[in-house]
Amino acid sequence: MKNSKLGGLSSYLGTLGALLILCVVLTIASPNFMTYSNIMSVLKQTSFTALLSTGMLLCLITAGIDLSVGANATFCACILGMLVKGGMTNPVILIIIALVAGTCIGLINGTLLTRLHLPHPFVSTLGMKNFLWGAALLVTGSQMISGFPNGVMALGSATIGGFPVSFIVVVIIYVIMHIVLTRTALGRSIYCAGGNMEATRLSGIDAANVLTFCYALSGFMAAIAGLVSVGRSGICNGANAIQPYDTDAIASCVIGGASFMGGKGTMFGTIIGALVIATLRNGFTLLSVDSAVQNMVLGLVIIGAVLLDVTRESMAAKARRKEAAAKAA
Amino acid sequence: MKKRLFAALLAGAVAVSMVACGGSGSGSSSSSSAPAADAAATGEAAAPAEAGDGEYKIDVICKTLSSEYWTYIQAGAEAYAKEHPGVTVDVKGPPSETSYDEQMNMIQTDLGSGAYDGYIIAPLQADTVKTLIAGTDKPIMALDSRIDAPEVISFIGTGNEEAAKAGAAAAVEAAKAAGWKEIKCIEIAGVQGDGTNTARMNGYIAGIEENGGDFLEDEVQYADAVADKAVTCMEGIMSNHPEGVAIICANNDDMALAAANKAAELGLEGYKNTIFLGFDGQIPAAQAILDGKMTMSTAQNPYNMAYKAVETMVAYLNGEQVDPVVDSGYTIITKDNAQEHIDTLNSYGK
Repeated sequence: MKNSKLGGLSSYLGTLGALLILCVVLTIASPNFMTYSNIMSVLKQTSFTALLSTGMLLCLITAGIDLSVGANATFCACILGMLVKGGMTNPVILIIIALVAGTCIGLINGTLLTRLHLPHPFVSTLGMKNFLWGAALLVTGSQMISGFPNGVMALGSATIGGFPVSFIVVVIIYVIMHIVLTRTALGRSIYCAGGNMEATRLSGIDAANVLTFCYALSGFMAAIAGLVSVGRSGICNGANAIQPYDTDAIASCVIGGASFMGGKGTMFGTIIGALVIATLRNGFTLLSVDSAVQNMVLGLVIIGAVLLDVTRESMAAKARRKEAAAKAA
Repeated sequence: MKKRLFAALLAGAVAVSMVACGGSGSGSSSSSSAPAADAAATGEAAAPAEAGDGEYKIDVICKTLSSEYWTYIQAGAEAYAKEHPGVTVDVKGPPSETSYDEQMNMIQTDLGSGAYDGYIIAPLQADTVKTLIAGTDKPIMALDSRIDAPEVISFIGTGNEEAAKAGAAAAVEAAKAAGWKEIKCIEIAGVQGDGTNTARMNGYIAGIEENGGDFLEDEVQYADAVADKAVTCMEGIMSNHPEGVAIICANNDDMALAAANKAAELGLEGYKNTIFLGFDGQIPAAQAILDGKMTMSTAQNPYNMAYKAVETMVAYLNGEQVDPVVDSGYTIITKDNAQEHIDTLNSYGK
């Protein structure tokens, strides 16, 4: 048990190291990087991806995926837009509607997977992504909508002494999710479901409910992300639904140590992953790097992170074999 | 353990050194020959600033840098900086014209950094930029698309709507000349919900309707601004209208050309004289017009637009009065002036 915990720590030490080096180099390369306002910019830019990554991580741990997170966030924002355009101004009701809408969509994703037995969630959530893209355009009449009430915008726009409220929310959510994943039966069931489905079933865990929970939570997080995006940008736009938000979220999780094979990944690693992506983009902007180069570097970072993970895995397996051989001898 | 950490650090270092290389690369890539004559000649908006009057660093945030149009914008802005030693410009942009989020991050980062004296922004979503720049004390100017906010000092560009309207009017004339009695127009549009798309569509509608044509609004096809989807749309249009349509207008050149090629390939009688109207007037499109594959295109003048934008910003920073709207004009490219247009674009030395 102690060993595996140490292994967990080392799995994100590398990513943390990369983030720190990145910061040091950017500080040297650009005098504007290590300023309070710029760091706050990075945090603001991290919030959206970090929220989507929360749900994505749960799905990845169960060896699934949720490709509809970005479209879901956009859809929730557009539902708000439609209501605001229709004259609704009560922020509490608006926020509740957004959260319910997002969660329902997640619930449908989960039900499709567990109750209607669609094969891999890749298919159902991809379908959902397209559906939501169209629905987002439909409810807004393909127009950008602005003029959201301040209460709705607060989550994405408010700051406390310059520190973005959205990131405080992210920290709170990450702490709660960390506790859920590591200290509760539900958390262990989630990891278990990703490891071996048959064993999970045999040990008396209701895998269907656990999976449905993961996708519903993913939808809920997407709704919060949608609220953050409305606050930050001041508008909603259905065309946003095709943005590669989902891949950014997947990249954050994978850089942070999650695996498509399931059973792996931590909240701490994921937030570092999200910060790495946001910091890279921020640094690119400060240094006026060509967007073509930006895409290449981001691609390399993702490949590098997975490569690192695979290498780490095979080295651990080798060490285990050696240990076993030593014991046998 | 040590080995793992080392590997991680190495990976980080690789990523970081690539960033550094990219940075220095783009810094030294400012364009060479710069024909400023035409830009300066038409620059009545503000007197050109004296070189060395002040050291200014100006940020130019584009809609993207990954298309021909925006490389002319980059060339125009950098040309001004090259001619005026006191002025430096940083030209940047997100990976595509739908990267709304990344542009938002860029603007936020640069406004927060305080590294620039002035910001020239070509907004992907004007209302978003309005939110981001609220309360900024540095001067901001809108490029290519308008930003309706009190912080914005001038708009430099041609409205997409005005240019599209002029293009549509010219297309109606051409259709009449080609012998069409009933002038129907169908648009192959870009990304639904995108601001530029909406502006161009409104321009087309106005230009067609005001000149006696019939814009079939219910039959607008959305092709997400890419050529292969435009082909699919064109096939659909031809199935629905075997009798022929007078004008097919598209949101950009790629789509217009793709549609024109598809019609030529099938060789339907009804589409022999169809006017294919594109937008942007880039080199491949101008070449296609010259070769008779496509009929016409509306070209904005990105090089001038960017040059004038930096010029206007410097004038403002020098304390001069500047106009709230600086028009950079547009040209309708037909077979008659396509060669001349290609030569001009090539002379920008990109």
